[in-house]
Amino acid sequence: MTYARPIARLIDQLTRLPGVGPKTAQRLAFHMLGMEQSEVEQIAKSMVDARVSVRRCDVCGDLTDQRICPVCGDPGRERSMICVVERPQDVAAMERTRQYRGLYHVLHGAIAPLDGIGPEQIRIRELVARLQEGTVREVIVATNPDVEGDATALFLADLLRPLGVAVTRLARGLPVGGDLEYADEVTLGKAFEGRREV
Amino acid sequence: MRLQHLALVDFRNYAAAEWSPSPGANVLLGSNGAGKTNLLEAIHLVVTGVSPRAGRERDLVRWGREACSVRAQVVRDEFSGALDCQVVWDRQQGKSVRRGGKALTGAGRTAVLGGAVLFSPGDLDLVKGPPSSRRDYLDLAAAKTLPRYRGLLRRYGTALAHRNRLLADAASGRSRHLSLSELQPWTQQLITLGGEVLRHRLWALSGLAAPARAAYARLSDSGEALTLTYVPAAGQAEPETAGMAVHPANPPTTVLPGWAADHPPSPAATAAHLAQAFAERQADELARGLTLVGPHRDELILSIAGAPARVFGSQGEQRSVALSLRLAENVFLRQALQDTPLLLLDDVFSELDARRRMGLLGLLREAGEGHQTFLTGTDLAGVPVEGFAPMALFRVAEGRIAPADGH
Ligand SMILES: Nc1ncnc2c1ncn2[C@@H]1O[C@H](COP(=O)(O)OP(=O)(O)OP(=O)(O)O)[C@@H](O)[C@H]1O
Ligand SMILES: [Mg+2]
Ligand SMILES: [Zn+2]
Repeated sequence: MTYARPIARLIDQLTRLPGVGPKTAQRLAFHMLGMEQSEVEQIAKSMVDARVSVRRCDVCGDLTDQRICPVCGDPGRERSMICVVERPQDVAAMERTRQYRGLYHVLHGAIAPLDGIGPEQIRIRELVARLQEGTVREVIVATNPDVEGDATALFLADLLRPLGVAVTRLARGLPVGGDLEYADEVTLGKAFEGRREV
Repeated sequence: MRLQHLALVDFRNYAAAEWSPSPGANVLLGSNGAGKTNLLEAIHLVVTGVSPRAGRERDLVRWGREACSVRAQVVRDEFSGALDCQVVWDRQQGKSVRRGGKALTGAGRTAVLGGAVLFSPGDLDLVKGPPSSRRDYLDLAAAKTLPRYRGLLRRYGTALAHRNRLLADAASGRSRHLSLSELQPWTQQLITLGGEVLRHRLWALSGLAAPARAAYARLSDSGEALTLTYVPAAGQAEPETAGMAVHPANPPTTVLPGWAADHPPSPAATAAHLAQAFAERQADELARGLTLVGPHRDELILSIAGAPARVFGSQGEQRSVALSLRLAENVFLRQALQDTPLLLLDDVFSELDARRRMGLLGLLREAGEGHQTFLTGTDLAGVPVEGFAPMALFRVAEGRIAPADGH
């Protein structure tokens, strides 16, 4: 079975998305072909809009449509604490706990030699720069509880402790090997309370 | 533990099969390739939660299919009714376990259902094979009492692979100079995770060593003693040479200086031991671009009267040692799980001489009443019928298991 060129191309493009195999791509493509044209245009427009307007916050690296994200710009946030996470999604998960009132730092990855990712490939240099100002007392490492996240936490502890900041790690209780994003708010809240020195 | 009913869907060569075994001894007869070993594997998987064969679990799924299911009704003790258990292996989603219709998640996933021990002709590899086969033996015993152990091994393996990549890239000049601060987090993790692996292995060993020795004393005619010695790769020597260095006149008695075999060390002790070993071997590791310390290189030495059975054992002695290790596994599981494990005897009797047959039968009988037993063979000649009366006969053919009449 061969599809008309535009359909085949659409299916092909959709398979580039994570978690979308040929079967799912086919299903999505035919669903779109059955939708109102205006609806499809809306989807396409929001994809392009999001991609064009969203950038990394100059301070913490979280995704935002401004130069500085709302958290970094909020005068009410505690400036002596930085919570370090792997991905922007993790910031959202932390914020949902409504328990943490400090700042964030998004690494955009974790140390993983097998994937060629060393300390220089993630935003560690930027974190160290933020600490030079001297207002930060504690860095809470909330990288994923897998071996890459743990290695990143250990590396940060060795690197930052000489700078005179306390380095803590969220307590386990998170599903081991599971991603932070999926941890429910209660578990995550408990993990914050029980954080320990690395 | 007793298996009442088994249902297989797309598991290895079975498209859809159902079977109700007898509570006592079950003899499964069938030609080569009929699926007898696969059936025992399915039982082992659903009861213990792990496949008895090391290797990729995706191979369990029937060729060309997406997922397989092994579903069983098991009776854990005479006081409770049958429990519905199911293991599903999906090519996309991996493994999932259901008990009583509910998917197990989080901590519940580590709840052990019961024990099963597989005796197979390949067990000779436990003695003759490379050190990894003996590490697998300890790991399987540990995983059957503590399913969380599999996850620990996986984490250890991942951390090890990352660390090896750093070392290899640096040694081959592929990356710029390796900074020790980059290596340190991985070393630290191998110390923590490796220390836990070591502790669980030694814990398993402490339950296995004595019953293995006792079984061997019964199976062999020489009156010589079987000793299990865990030799960490930590020291200066390689595990292979460490094995060879055990001179017949100089049998090792303790696992490590200061660690009694019946008293596994504390987390702090294993971690301290590994930390020291890493410090000692750092120069070697950097030069060779490889992690030289840790449980992935340790050796379990099986020796008869002080001489390593791998090198010095006769064929018959090696076979007796292999049987003794499986018999010990049964004793260990019974003790650790407070359960009578299922005995899965895959074509084991056909290869034994009369003496060992009698010895094994006697030991199995003494291992306790109430073990549900499963024996396979191509024909009745290979099965010691006399030892298992009364028994139910079944024929395995064309992906079905059906009662077979008489002899
Ligand atoms: N994933 C799979 N899908 C389909 N068939 C498989 C799969 N894995 C193994 N098989 C088939 O199952 C058959 C072997 O079954 P098994 O090893 O259980 O035989 P057996 O009855 O124990 O034979 P023997 O008497 O030689 O030990 C082989 O023919 C093999 O090709
Ligand atoms: Mg077989
Ligand atoms: Zn910000």
